[in-house]
Amino acid sequence: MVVRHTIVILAALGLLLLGGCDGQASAAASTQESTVEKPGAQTATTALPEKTNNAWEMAPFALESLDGGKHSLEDWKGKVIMMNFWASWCAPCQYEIPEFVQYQKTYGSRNLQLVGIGVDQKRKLANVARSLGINYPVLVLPPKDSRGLMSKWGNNSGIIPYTVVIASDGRIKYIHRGQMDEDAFNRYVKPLLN
Amino acid sequence: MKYMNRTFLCLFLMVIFLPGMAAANAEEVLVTVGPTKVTASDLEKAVRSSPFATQFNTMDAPEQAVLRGNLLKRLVALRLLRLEAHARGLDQRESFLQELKDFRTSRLYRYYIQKLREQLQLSEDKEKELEAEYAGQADALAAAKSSLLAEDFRQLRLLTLQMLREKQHVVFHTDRIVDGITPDTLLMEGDNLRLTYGDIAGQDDYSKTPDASQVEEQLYQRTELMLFAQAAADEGVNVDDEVEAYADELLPAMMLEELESQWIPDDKALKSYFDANPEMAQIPERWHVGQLVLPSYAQAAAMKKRIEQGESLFVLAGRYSIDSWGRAHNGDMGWFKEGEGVPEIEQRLKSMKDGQISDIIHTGKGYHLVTVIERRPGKIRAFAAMKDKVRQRLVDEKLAAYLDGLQKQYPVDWKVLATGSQADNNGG
Repeated sequence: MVVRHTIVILAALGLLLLGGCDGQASAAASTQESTVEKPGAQTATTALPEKTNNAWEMAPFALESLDGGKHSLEDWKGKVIMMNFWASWCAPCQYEIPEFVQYQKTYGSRNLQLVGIGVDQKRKLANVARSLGINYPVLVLPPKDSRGLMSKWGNNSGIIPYTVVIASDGRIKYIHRGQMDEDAFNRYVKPLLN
Repeated sequence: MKYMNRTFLCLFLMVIFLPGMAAANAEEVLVTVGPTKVTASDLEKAVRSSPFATQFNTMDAPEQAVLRGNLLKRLVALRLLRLEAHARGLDQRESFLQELKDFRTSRLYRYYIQKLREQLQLSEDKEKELEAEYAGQADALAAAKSSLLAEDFRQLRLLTLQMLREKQHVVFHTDRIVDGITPDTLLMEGDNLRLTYGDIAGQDDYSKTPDASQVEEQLYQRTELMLFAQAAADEGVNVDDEVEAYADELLPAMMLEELESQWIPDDKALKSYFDANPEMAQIPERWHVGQLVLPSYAQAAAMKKRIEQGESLFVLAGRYSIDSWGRAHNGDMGWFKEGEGVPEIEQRLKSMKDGQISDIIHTGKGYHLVTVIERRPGKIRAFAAMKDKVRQRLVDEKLAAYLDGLQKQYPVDWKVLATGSQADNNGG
């Protein structure tokens, strides 16, 4: 029961937040209401549409980064990737990002690579990146195109923040819905580092 | 307002001295107010605790600088009020000291409760069991753990309370909660603490027959608060900084309250301010205007004829208006308030019917044909509907002058004004 509640609450929160952000995303998210992840459907193999739990077996995607160039996840192949979906209007995102900045600083030399996926206007994302001193790449995902990419990574409800942890061999080790705290980082990410 | 305006221009040009929270030099002094300093960390704290903290990070740097500037001005104003509150001895008042004492008790209590909570841990076996059950679901795991710990906590808290009561030899006199009870009636006593009915009940309750169960409940709660706070204090927990920060917040608020009641003792003061500023009550007439501007009288006359024969002023304005903004918007000029537009045109708008095309009006910009698409008539609001606004404006005015006066007593020295080149670099 606890599991079900958590997921439903997060899903509702996701809808609410998207609703505040942009109408199209909200409409997209609301059509997903009936397909909220079932409790227990936690391994990537069953939860992700491409039926694999290895990121390098999935169809690649490329997005523009805040500094201009096109990037895809493959650019960081071999690293332990924490891919964090966030938006400028999302307060919980802004609470966790300073911690991510700290992780990148502390564990970058141990093969950790944070990658932000900003579901928002580029200008706002750049301002937040400047204000919070983000020290890792942020790719820009226009909200109107966000549904497909988020579903691809198991986020049918459009929850933000949403963080996918990919081991150095490409296996998707962990998916975190909502704000990720230090406990979860220590438990699921740290053991993957060099 | 004068105070605000005078500092506004230079603040607008203020250096964007904090590129990001992390890079700030927290101890940098931004302003000195009398003998006190406002530092970068004071300002960052104010930004982060403001209701727009999340939105702030999404703003462009020049916008952030303006907001920081406004907040800094506010901090300076509060600082001035606080200094004056000290000078007037507000910090020696019984009610203020009592409020600080209550605050200290509640902080100590919270600290102790937190400590109790942290003592609790699930057994290793239980922890492993839960981790297996909720593998990969961090939030669900945390929820399951905290619901188990909540029950343990309830028991630990009761045991601790019992232990502290015994240690302090606490005795309750609940049999005294009857008719005839006075504020001095002692309801609880121990080695270092006591509670009277007066400590618990509000002033209005003294004359009434007490509701025994309610008073008892409050008595137990207050006792727990005092015992836990006492225990934390005995362990050497220091909450001086928090209490001081609270006092710093409280004093300017008390000062302002005092000034307000002095400036506005009753509604009469509001009414006479309202009467002296009748423009406050006026809502001007507003018009949604269509316009076509032409370079000569002859052309304007020709256009007027075409409109009268059925062509649209808006279509013609989109093609021929020499006013480029109007041409780009097909002659739809948007809404104007009385007093905002050219007087010759406004005069005509007032007397025209909606939808009617004006005669040709000559101004410095050319020959105009105008029409009113829609209008909202002007109004005069009643005093009763404007009291809050009047109060706000009166307080703003008085406060600005008052703060100006305070600055003579406690000089304000701004340390962080931009040099021209820095401001240019930042686009501000």
